[in-house]
Amino acid sequence: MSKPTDLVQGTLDLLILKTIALEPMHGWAVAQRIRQVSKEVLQVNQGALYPALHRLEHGGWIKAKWGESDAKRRAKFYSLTAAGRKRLEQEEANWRRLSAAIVLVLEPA
Amino acid sequence: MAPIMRCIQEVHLWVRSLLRKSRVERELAEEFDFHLEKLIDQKIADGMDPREARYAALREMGGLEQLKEECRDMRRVNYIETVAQDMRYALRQLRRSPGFTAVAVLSLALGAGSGTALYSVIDGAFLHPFVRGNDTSILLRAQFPHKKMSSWLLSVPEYLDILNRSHAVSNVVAQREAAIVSLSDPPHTEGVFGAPISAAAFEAAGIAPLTGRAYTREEDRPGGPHVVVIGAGLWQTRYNSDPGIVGRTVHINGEGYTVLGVMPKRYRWMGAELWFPLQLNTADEDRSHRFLFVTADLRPGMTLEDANRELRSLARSVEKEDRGATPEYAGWRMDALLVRDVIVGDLAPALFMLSGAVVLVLLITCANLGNLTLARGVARRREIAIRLVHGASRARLFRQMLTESLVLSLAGSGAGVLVAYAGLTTLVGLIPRDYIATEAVIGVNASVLLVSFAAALVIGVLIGLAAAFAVPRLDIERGLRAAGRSMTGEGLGRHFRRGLVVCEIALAVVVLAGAALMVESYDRIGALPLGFDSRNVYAMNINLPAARYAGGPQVSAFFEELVRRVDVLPGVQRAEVVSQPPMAGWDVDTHDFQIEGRPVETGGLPNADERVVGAGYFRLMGVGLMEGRDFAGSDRAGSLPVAIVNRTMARLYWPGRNPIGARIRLGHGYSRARLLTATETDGPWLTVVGVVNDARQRPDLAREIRPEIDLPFAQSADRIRDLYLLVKTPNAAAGVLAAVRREVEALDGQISVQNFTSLDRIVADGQGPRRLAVVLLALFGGLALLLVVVGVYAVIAHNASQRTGEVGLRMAMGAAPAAVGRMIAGQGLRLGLSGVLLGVLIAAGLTRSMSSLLYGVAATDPFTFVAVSLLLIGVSLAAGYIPARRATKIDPMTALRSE
Repeated sequence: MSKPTDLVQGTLDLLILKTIALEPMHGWAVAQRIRQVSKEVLQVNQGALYPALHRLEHGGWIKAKWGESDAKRRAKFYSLTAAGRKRLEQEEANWRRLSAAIVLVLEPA
Repeated sequence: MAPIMRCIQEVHLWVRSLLRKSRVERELAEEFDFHLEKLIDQKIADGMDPREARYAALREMGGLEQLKEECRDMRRVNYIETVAQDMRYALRQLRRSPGFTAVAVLSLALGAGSGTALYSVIDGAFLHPFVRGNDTSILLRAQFPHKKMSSWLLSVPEYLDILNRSHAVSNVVAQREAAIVSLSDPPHTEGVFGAPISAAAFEAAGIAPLTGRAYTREEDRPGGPHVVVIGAGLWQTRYNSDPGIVGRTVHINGEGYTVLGVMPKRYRWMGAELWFPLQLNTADEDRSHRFLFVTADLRPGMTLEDANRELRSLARSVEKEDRGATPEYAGWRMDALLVRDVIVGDLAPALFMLSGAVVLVLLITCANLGNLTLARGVARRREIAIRLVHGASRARLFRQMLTESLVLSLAGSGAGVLVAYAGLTTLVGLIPRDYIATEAVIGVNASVLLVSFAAALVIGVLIGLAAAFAVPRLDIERGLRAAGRSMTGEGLGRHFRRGLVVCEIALAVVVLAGAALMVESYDRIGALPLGFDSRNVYAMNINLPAARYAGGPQVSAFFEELVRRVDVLPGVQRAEVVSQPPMAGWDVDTHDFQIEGRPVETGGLPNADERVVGAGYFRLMGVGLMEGRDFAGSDRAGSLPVAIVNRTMARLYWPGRNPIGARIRLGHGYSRARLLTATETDGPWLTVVGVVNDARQRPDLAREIRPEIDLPFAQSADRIRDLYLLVKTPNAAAGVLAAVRREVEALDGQISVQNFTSLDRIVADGQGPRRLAVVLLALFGGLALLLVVVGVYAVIAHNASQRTGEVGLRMAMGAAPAAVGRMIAGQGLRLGLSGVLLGVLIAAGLTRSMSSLLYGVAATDPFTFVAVSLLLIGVSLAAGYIPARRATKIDPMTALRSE
């Protein structure tokens, strides 16, 4: 089973949290949104997405609710919990620090 | 707040997944359906034909079931669920193949059962025989190289040296050996073991009396009061647990003693049931008057090595200070042994060797079951393939295999515990009582159960690993297509299985070689001349109370009359008294002696075993007279003092000469309790009147026979009140005992007969550790052999059935049935040969470790090894015979058609 090798390990959680922070979203939409926003660079494979969603749900970072999709079809919508919001802030801060550091290394002043 | 909320959600989901499984499953399916639909919609929007879009989407989604399983895995509850499911599945699988399950559980039950029973003995008799002090309680020993003797007995000054000068040990306690004393509160009289011990023993034990108190140091002085502390067992059986016992007076050897207290059940110091003050005269300055057992505790933080180092240097200082007055101090040593090591003695190596054998048998069982499981694994390939298709991960399948083997090993070990319960009494019965501390409790206890449970887990994992070996190599397509049958076995799996069988045979060689060596040693020892004839001889102990039998005349009058009466009982061939029957007990009374006209050498007087015998003893025991004359009725208290020596003594001290007429004088004695006066430095000169053949005195047959001096009872009656009556009679043992009891009662109603046993039994008990090893090793050897038969048969039969088609083809082409049979059976031979080769190499290394238990046979005895090898090769061939015969009966047409 191919894993998204182009995604840095551990960043999938961050991307999911960030994406559903805007509004509750089902799995399909999460994948689409990440692809669109990243201008087709980040492809999230369902083989990685769903286990990650289930893991996050079970860890209490996100919660799921069944609702109606645009096409009047039942879908499972995920949204952030308070703990998830907090974690998102931390992860975002971490990521910014890390990427800034990498930029510093790649382009020395 | 957030972490708590998170916890609540987690628990909620956890419970939900557990309780509402079907709903969760439905939701999972629905979520993926939704995703699939979206994917199809997208592909249609991209311009694909709807049907084509559906196929493409399905392809892209990949293994839907695997994905679901991965999501389930994300929920931790899955583990519990899987385990329960795996258990149910495992039980179903095992029920489906009752033959396999029966073989597995039975062989595990026998292996694990012997292991559990053996460990119970090791734990109860060796690791934790006492309530406390198992690893700290020590017994001191002196060794005198010039006398070629070691002594468990020390003198009062030596005891005081240790008490006052040692820093490595504390709680130094002096005591005399327990002896049978007659306990009487009329009209009831019985003999019980009583030991004189110093008051410090009760403080050292740290065990409080059940009721009353122990005696104090004040009461433990010469001239102190007659007081006694009794054991719980005696209190229960004799006094009905009457709390009013404290303060009451009982009669011990005819004298009144006040009962002070009752000690708990597991307090059995010196194996006794009552203890009275030693009342030691600490002013005794005779360093050679050794009659005390000295025990102590290692101080916290001190090891046995520390104590021994200190004792060595203490012995050197004492040697410097006192060598002049005590010549035997030249080069003497003092050391200490753990009390439990002294008691368990050479039983310990036997126990550890047997544990090794149990481990080997269990390994064989594991290999065997792994093998059978693998064979089933091949037959179950289709099932496994189906499960893989249905989304089971390999890890999950492995877990399933492991669960199955764990269920199996736990069931087997559970049955093993029952086997252990049932067999433990028999096992303990094989061990002579002397080797087990009186306070030891041997049973299947919690720590034993824990160890056997842990062993079951290890066994389960080992078998599971073997089984799982088959899984990763299986590819789904071939598994489904082959449907459990193929022309050739799985390459690697087959080699692995043959490897397992070879290992099985090799381990069986080791167990059987060990067993054969033990049997051989036991036979050789049994064939050793004892120097006496133990057949039809019975021994019993009679101890006269000092109060009514004050001196020699009374004692000899009683025993001579008793012997006269028993001698004429119907069926009795001969009766006689002796201070100690041969080969009984773990130590023998010894005496220093001086030969007239010879100077005392450096290191003091020589030392010999000593025995007091009735005039007819040598005739009763069938000990041959080599020179001079036997004792006679004319050797009386007033006549010429005489002695008889054994052949070894004559050879060592009168080499090439006849010792008859020479005179010897006894020096210091090393006597535990039996001989009353251990010191006799000014005794009379004894004239040697005879030389008898060497007869075994000590139970350890592998040891050299020591010089021995025998004294006539009639001339030693003032030194002994505690004798054994020997009766030679071909009649049933119990009848003799009853008749002798009646005679004793008729002479003195307050004297009891104790420790009735046959000499054959004493001789056999001396071989206790070896006998235990022989019986159990023979059992394990048989078990190993049986397992090998099952293992070899399973592999060859399986292989033969896999090759049915090939055999049919060969026979259709004109191969003779005999040739086909040889081809199949030849596999057994090859397996046997490789296993035996490997086994001999391992055995040659391992049997060396049991050399302390062997006698008269080398640890790598070639004859034994060849015999065991031939046996196993033969067994392997035989195990291959049935499948080979079946192969020759194959009808080529049927075989080919079934392909």
